[in-house]
Amino acid sequence: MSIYKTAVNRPVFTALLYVAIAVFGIFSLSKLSISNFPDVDSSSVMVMTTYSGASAEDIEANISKVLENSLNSVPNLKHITSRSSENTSLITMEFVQGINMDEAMNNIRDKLDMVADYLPDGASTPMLFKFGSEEMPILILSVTAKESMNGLYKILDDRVVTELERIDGVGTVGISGIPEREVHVNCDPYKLEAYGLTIEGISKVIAAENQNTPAGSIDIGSDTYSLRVQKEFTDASQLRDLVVGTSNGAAVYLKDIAVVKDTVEERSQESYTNNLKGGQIVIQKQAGANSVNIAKAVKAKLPEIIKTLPSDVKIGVIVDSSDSIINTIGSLGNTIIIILLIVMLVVYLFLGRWRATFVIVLTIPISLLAALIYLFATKNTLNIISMSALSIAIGMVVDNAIVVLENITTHIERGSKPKQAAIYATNEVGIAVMASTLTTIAVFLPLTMIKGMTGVLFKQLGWMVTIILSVSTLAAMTLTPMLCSKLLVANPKSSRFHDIVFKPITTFLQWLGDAYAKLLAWALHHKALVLCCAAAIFLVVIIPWARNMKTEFFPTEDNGRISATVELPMGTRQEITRNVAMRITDEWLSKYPEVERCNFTEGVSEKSTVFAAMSTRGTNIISFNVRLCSASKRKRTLGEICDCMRNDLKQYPEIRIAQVTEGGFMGGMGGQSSVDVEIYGYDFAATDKIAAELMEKMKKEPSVSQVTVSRDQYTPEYRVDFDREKLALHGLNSATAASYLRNRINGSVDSYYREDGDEYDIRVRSAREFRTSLEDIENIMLYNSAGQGVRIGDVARIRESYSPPTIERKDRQRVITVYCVVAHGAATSDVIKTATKHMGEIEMPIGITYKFGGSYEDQKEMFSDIITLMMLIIILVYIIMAAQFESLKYPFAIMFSIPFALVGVVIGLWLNGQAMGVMTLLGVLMLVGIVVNNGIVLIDYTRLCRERGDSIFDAVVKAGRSRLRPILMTTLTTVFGMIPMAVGHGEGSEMWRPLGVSVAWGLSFSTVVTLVLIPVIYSLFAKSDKNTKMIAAEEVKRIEEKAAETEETIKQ
Amino acid sequence: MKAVFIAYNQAHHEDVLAVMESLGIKGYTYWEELAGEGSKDGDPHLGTHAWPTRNGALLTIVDDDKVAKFMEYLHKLDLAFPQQGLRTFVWNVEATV
Repeated sequence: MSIYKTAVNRPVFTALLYVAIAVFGIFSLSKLSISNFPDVDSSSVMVMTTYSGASAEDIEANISKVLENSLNSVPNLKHITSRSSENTSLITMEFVQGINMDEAMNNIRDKLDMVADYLPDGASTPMLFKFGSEEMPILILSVTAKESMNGLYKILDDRVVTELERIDGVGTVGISGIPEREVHVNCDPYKLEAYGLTIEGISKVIAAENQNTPAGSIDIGSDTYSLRVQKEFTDASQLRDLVVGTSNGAAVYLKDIAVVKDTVEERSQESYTNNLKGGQIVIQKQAGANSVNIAKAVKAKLPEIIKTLPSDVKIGVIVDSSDSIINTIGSLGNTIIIILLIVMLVVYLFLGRWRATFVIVLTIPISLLAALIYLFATKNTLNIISMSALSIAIGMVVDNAIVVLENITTHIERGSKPKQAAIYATNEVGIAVMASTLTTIAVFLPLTMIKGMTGVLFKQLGWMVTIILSVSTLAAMTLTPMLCSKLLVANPKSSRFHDIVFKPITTFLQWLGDAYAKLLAWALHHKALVLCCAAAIFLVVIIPWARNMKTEFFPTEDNGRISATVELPMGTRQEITRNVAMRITDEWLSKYPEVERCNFTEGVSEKSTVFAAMSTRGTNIISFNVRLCSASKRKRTLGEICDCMRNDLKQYPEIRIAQVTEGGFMGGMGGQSSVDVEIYGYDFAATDKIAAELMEKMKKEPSVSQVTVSRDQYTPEYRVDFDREKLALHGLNSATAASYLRNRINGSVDSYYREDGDEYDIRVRSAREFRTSLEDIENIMLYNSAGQGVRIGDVARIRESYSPPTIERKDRQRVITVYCVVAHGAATSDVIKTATKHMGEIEMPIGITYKFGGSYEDQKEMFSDIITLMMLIIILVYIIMAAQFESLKYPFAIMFSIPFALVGVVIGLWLNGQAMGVMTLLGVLMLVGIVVNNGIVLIDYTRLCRERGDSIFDAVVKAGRSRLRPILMTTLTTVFGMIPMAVGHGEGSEMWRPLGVSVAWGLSFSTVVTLVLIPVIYSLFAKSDKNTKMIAAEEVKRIEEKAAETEETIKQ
Repeated sequence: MKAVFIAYNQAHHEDVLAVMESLGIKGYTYWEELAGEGSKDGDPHLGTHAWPTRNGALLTIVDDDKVAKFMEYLHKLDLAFPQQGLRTFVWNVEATV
């Protein structure tokens, strides 16, 4: 028994089956987490090696090069880059997306083991860690306080950080911008000299006095007691009365020679929000955790935490990466609902019967919910890709149900009972429905098989659409006939209202059918003209476009976030930097009402983290985090505001380098698009010169809004150059001398002050007023082991010098990168073009090469992936059609609708001023599967008419008139389904707008052309075909001839 | 006893059974999926790409007195839905066991 028969005969079973799907779907929907993009595993691994005392060049030669040469042979490696700076080498290995990272890590470990012996003796063991976008902060909270400022670090650390870290999925929680408590012992060097004391000695005395020592156990009588010396300081003021030495028989107390302060660290990172000082709490998530869920959990917990804090401590949100994700997915959700309503309206207008509309529209939620079950089962999320898949599919899922319902209606009108009609009518169209679904699935299923970045993105889309279409086909063959058998009636009574609304529509459709039939008749008589016109349209649109093609990777997503890095001249004092930052903040706050919050941090934290190793920090660097109000509430886009900000920063003469980043992060999907010109060459001076020249030229280009160079300047510094001979004469060596210097300037930390289970540094050094000039340094007294003193000025020369920049290498060559940010309104390809032109003008010494990296490299890779895929899909679609028609030439005729889809896409891009990006290409890819469906319907029916005995001309016109309505209906549902995506203005809409535009334009244009061109091409191909009457006549003739032959043989 | 052979569009099957039920005719043989074409007008029922509908056929042996009534009902059925197609042929039954 066929499935449709079972379905019709067992309505309860069928209905409940789909109710079950819907229930599971709704359950999945309630459990699904949301995110921006499908989970992308981090594909970068870093190897950090330290070698103290080595300069950048030594590190490059002895560590980076050695490691690179060995690590280069790890399989699936895409790029290997390294940063060699003083003391550290940081190698970043970028792998092909989607590979097993655990395996890659093991391979790297093996290679590191092999090379370990070749590293210098003093070098540390290379440290290995994974790093990806998921380790970026997902939430940054601002903290402001008044009275509690001094104890703020401890308050936050105890009550906020520990609480937040307890939340599932939260990685590390860090506090920045709030100085940590320290006990300072600020000594007067001249008093020390007078008493013959040293900072080292004092530091040791403090350490020795600040100890609790267990002294063993003692038996007294029948009991055992433990003995303990408890001499740890219980208050910082106790330090003052410490005896640090004797002079003339009298004790010298610490208070005689130094000032003891229980205070906060001297140098720290400072953070200001809207020019109000405060701190930051930076929350990172664990790898693989969901940002939105964590952000939600953190925000839910915050009010509880705030209750426990002193009343003057205020906590706000600076960066919330979940905001834009929630809004983006929300606006996509709204789009889906709009699409659903539009599709419903189109179906109702065409059918004019609400019961039929209900039957058809019901397949939409069922197939979409089935796809949600898939998402839930595979632990995926609702993201831009999966939501786009849902909205794309809505217009397509109704197609099959429409075909089935139409045929059932025909049968009922012919006099069948609804139940019988439902069974037999479905049986008739079953194969055709499956074939047309197959051509569409042929497009989407291969998407699940590609690798790399493209694969990660489109895998979900491929599966989602495949599942949605399969379920919709299944529903069209079971649920639709079942509902038809129950709901449809032979001659529905129509109300007067119904007549008023639908009479004109019916008349219009009738008229349209007649007009189309006339047009077809004309076209069949002017075949050459039609073909020439079609060719002309194609060439006129495609040739100028192909010559002048603008391409981009992904559109920049307007998430309302801007980050900016401003560098003042090297060595600028923190106070001056802060002042500039405040002026910039004031200007931005007054100039851009869109700015909700402007936060900046400056200064160097004394702690070093992985982040610190990767980024350049200094007292001269300010980093801004700006949050704008949501996209729908402002007129200017993110790109426009960023361009204005870049211009603002150019007005400050003291700014050396300014970098404004749209979206808060560089490159990748939805980030700012940039073209990185990588200049490879060993000679620093030569590559610097080329980079500078290119930078100057690119700065003048209107298509580029910002140009920066990766290589830092030489940093000015003072070098204390000890004379070894003189040191030796005084019984000293460089290391001892250097430690004396360090202890006086940076301080010596030998002991910790403990309170409530926390440890605070006790830092002994010269008081601030004794370390403000070069003379102060020259006056520092060094002591040898015999206790004889000599001043630094006598054994060393202090001279101004420059420390070389970090040496960057990529793929085992020294590299300097010029980053060019694509200006608002320009395309990546424009920048590539101008950069290529300028590089051609610059004279290149031998041995220096350049290439384009950054998002352009990813773009190139993805484009070539998609184009290869498109070829495969076209072949696959052809094979499926050829199998269905059992013919090689008719599918070929139908394929002619594909180039015109491209023409439509180009026109759409041109009208919208968009560049060709990955999303557009995805649209084109989908079009391949969608546009052929119209041709299939048309040619299928034409062939049916021919089989029924019509002439070619009659068959073409008849089929055209009869199939116009279903073609228009299925096309309009898809096109109207795309329009809300194409004109959307919600947050994140930049991402999918190109997709909507390309599908809507491509499908409409190709449908219009297909309706005329395909029948004409068909008629050319079908000429040699014979219809049934001709075949019969030929057969009779053949029999007669054969009979005559036989008769003649008998006669002979 | 007469043999009545009815060839009709599958979709009529329930109607034909209803007519037989109302006349108290029991016992029949039914072929579900058949191909056929009418001799006058109407669409062929071939189950092909061009003519996807199918015919069914039913053979039943009816008492002489019921034949006229049966034929009349079947004719009415054909008149009601002329597009579906229904043809009936009657001949004598020589012997049965």
